[in-house]
Amino acid sequence: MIQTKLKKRTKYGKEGVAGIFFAMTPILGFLIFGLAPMFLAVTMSFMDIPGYMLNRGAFVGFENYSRLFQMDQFWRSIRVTLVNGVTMPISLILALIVANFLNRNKVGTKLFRTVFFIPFVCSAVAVAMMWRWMFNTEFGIINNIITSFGGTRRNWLGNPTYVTWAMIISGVWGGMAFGILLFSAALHNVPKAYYEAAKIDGAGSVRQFFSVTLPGISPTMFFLVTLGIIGMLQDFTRFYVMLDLGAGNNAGLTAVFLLYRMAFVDNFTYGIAMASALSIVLAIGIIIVTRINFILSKWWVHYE
Amino acid sequence: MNNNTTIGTTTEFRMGAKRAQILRSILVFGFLVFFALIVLIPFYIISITAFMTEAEAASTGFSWWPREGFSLAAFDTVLFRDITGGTAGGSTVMRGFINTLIVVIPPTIIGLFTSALSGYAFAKMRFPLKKVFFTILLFTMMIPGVIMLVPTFIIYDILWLTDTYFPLMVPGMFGAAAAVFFLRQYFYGIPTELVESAKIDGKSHWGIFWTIMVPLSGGALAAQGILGFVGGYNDFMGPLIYIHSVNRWTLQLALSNMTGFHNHNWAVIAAGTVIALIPMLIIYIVAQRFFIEGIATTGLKV
Repeated sequence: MIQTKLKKRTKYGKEGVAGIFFAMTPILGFLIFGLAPMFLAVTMSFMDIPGYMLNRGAFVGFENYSRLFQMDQFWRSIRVTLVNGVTMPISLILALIVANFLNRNKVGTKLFRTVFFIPFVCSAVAVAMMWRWMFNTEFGIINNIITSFGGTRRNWLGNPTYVTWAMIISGVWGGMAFGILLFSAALHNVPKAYYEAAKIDGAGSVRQFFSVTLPGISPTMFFLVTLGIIGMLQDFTRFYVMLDLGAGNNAGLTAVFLLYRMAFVDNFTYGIAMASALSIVLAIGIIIVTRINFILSKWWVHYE
Repeated sequence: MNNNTTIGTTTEFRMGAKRAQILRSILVFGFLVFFALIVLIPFYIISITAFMTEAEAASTGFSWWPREGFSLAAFDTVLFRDITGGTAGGSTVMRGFINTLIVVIPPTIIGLFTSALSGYAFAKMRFPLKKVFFTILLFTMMIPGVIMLVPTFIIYDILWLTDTYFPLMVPGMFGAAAAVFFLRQYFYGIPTELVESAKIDGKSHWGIFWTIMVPLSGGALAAQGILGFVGGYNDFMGPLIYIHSVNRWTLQLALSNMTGFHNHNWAVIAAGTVIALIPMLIIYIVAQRFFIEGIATTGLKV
């Protein structure tokens, strides 16, 4: 009698306690290492903080934000991020093409798949080093190929005109692997019967691609675009390793690179408060773009 | 006669179609070979550079082959020399490699365990606030990481924990949202009858998790463990921000700093890059199945 009463009161019984206990650790980790810093970032962005001394900070309202929006370098870094961001759509389109070829291939497909995925397991630093060497002005293969065709050597990683090209080329090389793997799996899962039906209706291969293939892989495309946007707006490591201090004229100074410099390099000039403001602006930007992508997805993503 | 010609043209037509098909297969194959070369050439170039002498790597003009013969000098420097003067005479790069293992292995194993336990609870147990917890977990995946950078640094700075491995190790031990989702999905697929009958046998939920679920999920756990390890091994921004002492550098940090210490010796930098890549390539080739399983399912089913 008492037991049933108890059971009624604690609907879940022992299992409830154990369940919370089991499930809790990652949640706890998030609260400590995610949510708390997030609130701190918002708070700091409204303060003036000397060095890293949070205890000597004072609230200054929106001053950091207004300073940030008046800074040329801030707008330039946003532009650099977006211009270099074309790496993402280019990678996805090329990855889709390669995946398509991969799925039509008959001999050695497994080996090709293994090779194509290699860049994914390589660290951003190692990949950046490889490309830094290949884009080297004097000894790199790329300038060597150009000069053998009669062209002139270019300072790929220093001259602002060429930096973007170098970053997009190397970025596409590294960014395609993940897309190829996922697209290849997705293409494989598009039911063959749909293609048969389209053929019977007289659809050519182009029409088939847009009416059968694209809708069939749209969830994968959406997933990759979402991840791609988040990654593209926070691109940093490869710029940091490949370019000395963001290259000439700061042509390779992405938004996160600028944030890094504000907080950890030119702390004296900018400080952690301004860096926090920049991080909030970036985060809001990312959330807005992801949200727009999500809303638009209702028109082009088809779940079965 | 008439009949015969018809047959003739059909066979001809068939042969033509077949020829077109073969041609198409060759074109597809050729394209894939071309793309495979594009993927592989950077690796080839960095490898031959690593085998060049310092003088050859710094001589004008590019070559597809070490003209002065294969030299192991660069590897010797990377594997045995204290190139920074900060690792007490030991190899800076090898110190970095060992540091990386120290930093990455414990959080990978512990984080896998906590993620799996949490995933099991979400898949097979009933408890209050389950939906709220799950939503919070979903939410964590949507917060841009960039926002945490400065405040976490400040917190660790106040706690005197910068230039230690604490910021690189401890957060990962609490598990990762993506791993929880993946493993939850996997455990969800294991029949609940198994859990129910174990309950009747008097097994606790811990017992069910540890003696039934974990042994049944070897592949899924390996996939998540490997992805976690690779992510940690390749991580750069964390070490860059927190670790300042040269003898605490991780491998990636040591590698990224080589351009500063060896600005003109590309043979050494190339050898360092090759050494840094080898462990990942071995893991990838040995455990390719788990990689692809882990990624394909994480990507498509979440």
